[in-house]
Formats: sequence, C-alpha cells, structure tokens
Amino acid sequence: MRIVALLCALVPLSLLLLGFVLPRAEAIHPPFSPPGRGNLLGTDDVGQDIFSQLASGGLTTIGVGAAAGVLATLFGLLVGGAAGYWPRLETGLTRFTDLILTFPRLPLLVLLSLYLKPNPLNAVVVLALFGWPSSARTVRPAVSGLREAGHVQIAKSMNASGLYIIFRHILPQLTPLILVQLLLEIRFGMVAQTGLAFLGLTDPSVPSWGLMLFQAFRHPQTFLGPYWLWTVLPPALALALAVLALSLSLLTDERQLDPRLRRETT
Amino acid sequence: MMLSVNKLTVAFAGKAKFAPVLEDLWLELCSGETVALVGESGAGKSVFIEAVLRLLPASCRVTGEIHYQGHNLLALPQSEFRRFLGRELAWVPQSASGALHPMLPIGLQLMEPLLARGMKRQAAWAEIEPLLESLDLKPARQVAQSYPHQLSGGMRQRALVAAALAQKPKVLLVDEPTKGVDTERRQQVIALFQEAKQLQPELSVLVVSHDLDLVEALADRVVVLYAGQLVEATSRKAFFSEPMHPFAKALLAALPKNGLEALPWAESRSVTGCRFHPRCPIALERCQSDEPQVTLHEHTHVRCWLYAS
Amino acid sequence: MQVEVSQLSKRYRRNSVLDRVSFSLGAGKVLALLGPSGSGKSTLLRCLLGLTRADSGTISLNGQDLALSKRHRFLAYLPQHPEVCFNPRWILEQSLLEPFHLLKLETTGQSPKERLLDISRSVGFAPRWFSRYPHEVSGGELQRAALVRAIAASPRFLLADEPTSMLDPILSASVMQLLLGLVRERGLGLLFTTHDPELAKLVADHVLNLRNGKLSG
Repeated sequence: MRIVALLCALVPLSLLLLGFVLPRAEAIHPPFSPPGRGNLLGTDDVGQDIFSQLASGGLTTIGVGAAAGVLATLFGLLVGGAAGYWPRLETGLTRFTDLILTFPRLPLLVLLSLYLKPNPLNAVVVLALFGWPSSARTVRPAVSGLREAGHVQIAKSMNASGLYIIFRHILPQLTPLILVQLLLEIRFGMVAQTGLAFLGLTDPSVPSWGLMLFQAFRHPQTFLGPYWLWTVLPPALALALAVLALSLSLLTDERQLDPRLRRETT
Repeated sequence: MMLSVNKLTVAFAGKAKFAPVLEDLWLELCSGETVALVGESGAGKSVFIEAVLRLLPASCRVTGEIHYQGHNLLALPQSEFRRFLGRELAWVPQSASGALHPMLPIGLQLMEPLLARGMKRQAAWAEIEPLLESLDLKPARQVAQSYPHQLSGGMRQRALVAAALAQKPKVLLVDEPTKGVDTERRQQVIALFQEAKQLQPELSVLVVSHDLDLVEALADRVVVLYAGQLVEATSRKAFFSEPMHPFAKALLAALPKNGLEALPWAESRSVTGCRFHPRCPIALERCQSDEPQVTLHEHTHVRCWLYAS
Repeated sequence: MQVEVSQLSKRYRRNSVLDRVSFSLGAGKVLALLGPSGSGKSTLLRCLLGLTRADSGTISLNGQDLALSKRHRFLAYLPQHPEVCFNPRWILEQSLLEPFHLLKLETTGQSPKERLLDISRSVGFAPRWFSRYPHEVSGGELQRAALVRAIAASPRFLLADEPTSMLDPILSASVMQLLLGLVRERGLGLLFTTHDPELAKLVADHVLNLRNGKLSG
C-alpha cells in the first residue's frame, strides 16, 4: 500500500518541485495547441503552456493544503491537548470547539472569500481557523485517557511540568492519530482550495489546478474538440493523484509507529 | 474422569529458540473434584485454560490430547467444539468488570445463552432466579435488572460465576479469581466457590492461581508448574505439609507466614538439564545436564532427580 | 530524619476519603499501611506525593513544613502496576534516566548512566534490559526497573503502593526483601500499603490500620 501511495505521490510532488524552478506561464504560444514538442502538454485558450501552469499551480494547491493542514492540526493539538490534560479547562474548551465545529466549513469559505481578498494566504487562514476542531476533538479524549497513565503519574511525582508531560509523554504516543489527522486536513485543504478556484473565487493571477479547471470549463470550445484532453485532464489527474496518495498513506500500517506492535526482529 | 489432558504442548510460532510455553502437560480432573494449577507468573498456568477453551491466537501451535467424555477436544472441528462451551465447560475469567457487557442488565446477560437455545423467557428466568438467590445476589429480581456498574466488585464477580453456572456446566475453568483482591474480599471469593460447589456437587473445578490461601481452602489436588512443565502433582494435604519438589518448597517458603524467603530469579526456559537447576538450592551435578522425568512417589508425582531411583 | 503527617484530610464531593490522618515515618523504619481496597490508602500516598491536593493538614520534615516543590527530593514513589508505569515508546534506559533530568540531579564524578548502573547492580536489575521496551521485559524485571527509577534520585523515603498484591508469592517475597534491603543498607524510610495483615506484621516496625479514611491502632 505504501508503494502505491508513493507512486501516486510522485506526480504531484515532482510538479511541486518544478513549480519552484519553472518560470510562470505566459500567453506567448498559439492557443489550444495540442501536446507536442514546444509545449509538453499543449497550451490553453490564451496560449499559456499547460505544463508550466500545472507546476506553478501545484505550488499553490499543495501549498495551501499543506499550510492549512499543518496549522489546523497544530492548533487542534494545542486546544485538544490543553482540554484533555487540564480538567479545569476541559468544559470551556470543549464547548468552544463544538461551537466552531457547527460552522459549515466550505460554505463559510465561499462566503468569506467574497469579503476577503481572494489570495492564498487568506484561504489558508480561513481553512485553518475553521479546520482545527476536528483534530481537537480527536486529541482531547486520547490525552485525557493518558493523563492518568502510570508513567505520567510517576513523572508528576518527580515534579514534571504539565508541558513536559504533554510534549514528552502524551503527544508522542498519539503520533499515529495526529498523523492521520494531519493527512486528512491537508487533503481537505487541497480539495477546498481547488473548489474555490474552480468556482472562480480565487485571484485569477495566482495559478492553481482549480483555476486551470475553471478557465478550461469557462471556454465554450473545451468539450467540442479534443481540447479537454490537455486542458482539463492534467490538472484533474494531478489533483486526483495527490488526493489518492494522501488517502492511501492513511491506510498504511500504524504498527510501524509503535514499538509495541512492531514485528520482533530478534 | 471428566477431563483428562495428555502430553499437551503449546508453542508460540516464531520463538523457536525458546522452549514451548507448556510442555507435555499431563493432568486429570475427576467429577466433583477441584484441582489447582499453581506456579509463578509466566509458568504457563493461564495458557492451559486458554488452550482448553481455544482462546489462544492462531499463531499458537497446540498439540497433545484433551479428552472430555470420550471426545478429544483438540481434534474437534470448531463448530462441534462450540457445543461444549458454556454447557459442558464454562469459563470464569479473571476480570469481573471486563467480562460483563456494560450496557446490558445482568439478568439478561445470564439468560442470553438459555434464550439462544430456544428457551422461553419465563423458563429461563425460572432457571436463573434460584441461582442468583443461592449465590447471595439478592433480591434476585433487583440484581437482574441492574447494570454491571451498579454492582460492587464482589457482586460482579458473583454475577460472573452465576453466568458460568447458568448452563449447568460439568467443568468450571477459573482464572486467578483473587489477583489484586484484598483480604476481606478474598474470603468472599473462597466462600463463593464453596457455595458453587454445594450448589452443584458434581461440578469439577480447575482453578489457576498463585494465591496459596485460596488453593488451600478450595483444592483437592494441586498441580505445580514450573517454566511450562509439571514439576509436582499431589493432594492438597501433601502439598502443604510435605512438598517434594524444591520449587514447591520455595513457593511455600515465600509466603509471609513462612518467613518470606526470596528465591533468586534466573532464566529457566532455555537451560539444559532440569529447568529449575539454576535457582535450585540443592541442585546436583546431574541436574545441569540431564532432564528429570516425572516419577511417582507415594501418591505424589514429581519431576526431580532427588527422588529418582 | 523524620516525616510527620498531621491531620491530613481529603474529601471527594461529600465523601470523606481521608479523615484527619496523622503519623510519622523515620529513616530506616518500615511502616505498613493496612486496609481493604477503598479505604483511602492510595489517596493517602497520592496526597503525600502531591499528585492529589489534600484539603487540609500538613506534611513536615524534621519539624519544618515540606513544600510541594521540595517534596520530590525526599519522597519517591513505587507504583502498584509496573507494567503501565513506563512510557511504552521509550526504552527502559530513557525512563530510568528521567529522574535525573526532571529533578536536575547532580551526580558528582559520575555520569547519570554510571550512577544508574550502580543502582541497578544493587537491586539486581541486569543492564542488558536497558535497551528494551517495557513490553519486552517480564513483570518481575519491570518491578525491579521501577525500583531503580524510584531510588535513582536518592530519596530518603520510599512510598510503595501495594508492591506485592499483583505478584506471585516468589516474586512478592523477592520484591519485599529488596525493599527491606534498601531500608537496612541505605537507611531509607519505607511506607508501603498492603491488604495482607500477615505481611504487614512480619516486616513492618509499625502497622497503621486505615479504615474508611480513619487510622486506628
């Protein structure tokens, strides 16, 4: 399963790397030219190279997803960890988490992107601000379960601080849980960013896979000829592979992360 | 003879360099008799019960014979074996809180197997009610309606024994009933099994325990395991008054009332010769190289060169 | 050196778990706290260790009030279930070195590891277990490891919670003898809880009977 996930990740990841090096696509080629020598994946309706768009678009899509995912998970860890470890904070933080959780994320994102500047940074902020409750809710019971664990009590009896216990004893044991949460959040972030762009709610000057789809779908000719094969298919496939890679890595064996479950080598 | 075990060997796959957890165990349990299986933690006591009830993981290799009323339990297909569970062989697990369903009332849990057999609700209750009464779970109707968390620890354990007895089994397999239990409740547990015995005098009980007070109060015969092997099998009286095997002696000497004598620890699974020789205070030269066999001495079976003729 | 506990009380909601408990424990002495489960034994230990805050009462060392922050230097805790008392993701060495980090112990002329080896030798805990994870080690060895960790910080008093209740007779005896050895050799004051009156009578200098949070006898 891991190998398949890695294979799937190969395409989006190499696009991401190329996104750092390749120059921005400019409208200097003949429009709608099919894949060939000059343009590896052809050009779009205004004559931009699809491949360079794909590369720089990957940077936005994956970047927004990863940043939003990491921030949301981190924030969720902080809130969930605090709520789980300090009983005094538990009720308040849990209520707060539940409150934020009631906001539907995607519609909210659509709504806010009408009021905020449609740049990637704002997308990250909004996604992270409303994405953390699920991690917090996953982490809290796990932390409060470990709060009474013997080795935590021992550390406490040796004057260990709460932060030491959370970061040294509790969170490391939750790595599989946190990792899954992180991957889920990144996946959601990528899909959400693509969705926004597809709806035309992002800055049209910032390339992304969703924007490519938006522009291709907007053009009446796209599905009248073979044009969709190189204007629609590549960004759609890239996104699909990225999502698939994340989903498959969710299925990998968590046994590798836990010494108790690791296969004995001796 | 209710249960007779012959050459039972249990080995975990992938641990070839270690001796099996249980090796060539031989054991007989007569009708109405209580046999205690004693030994250190890790000697294979609980594995025995798990082997009989097929609770071991699939990676475990179990060989030998377990005869129950003319059937070799180990050779039976799973579908036939299941007919023996509960009705013939019943299990009393160690933890009373973990073994009861937390969301079902006690009464329903006890009646479940009877209902599953097609018995009517009223008939099942008629079976269960006197059982609860006689195990001091009174008033029976009220106890039956309560959930496990509403009962005290002692009552939960009674309920567990009631559950095991509900189908009138012939053999009761009891795992460490007093582990971590305080002295007062230990007396209650002992009384509980004595009551169970009075309720069904034909009941055979195999109890695994390292609580020697419990063994002294309940057992007719004592089987001592060391590192997966039987080292002594004898009557209760002989075990407590004149234990033969050095390990049996050490076990008794470790009790607070006998002076709390500590036996040093040593690896025993992968040694040649007698498994106990690294810790044995009276080991002979022969013990280091040759493995002793079980021999019979005036009603006591013992595995020790000291008694080999 | 002597720890005095006076008028220690603790309530959970309406239930009084500890009711004006007073006793003292001297260096080199063994004190058994005898009582059935639910009598408040564990709560008493937790209060002494600062894991639970007592409602009232004082704990003093040689007549001086022993603040919570200083207590860890003098009191060490030996838990009841050694198998859950080690971080399952750490090898034992990491867990055993934890007291040195947490209590910022100065080991004169010795690295913490060397000191650990010394202590391990004295309780018969083989250094080959250091690189193992807790689940790879038998219960008896873990109990020893827990003991190594407890005395690593050279505490003056050891509080042991039911050190033998889950163990077979042979292991109980060896753990108990080990604890008594520490009392004899290091002058440690030992307070242990138990529900076995025979054990208490045999090894303790003084037996405290705890029943429903009250001391008697």
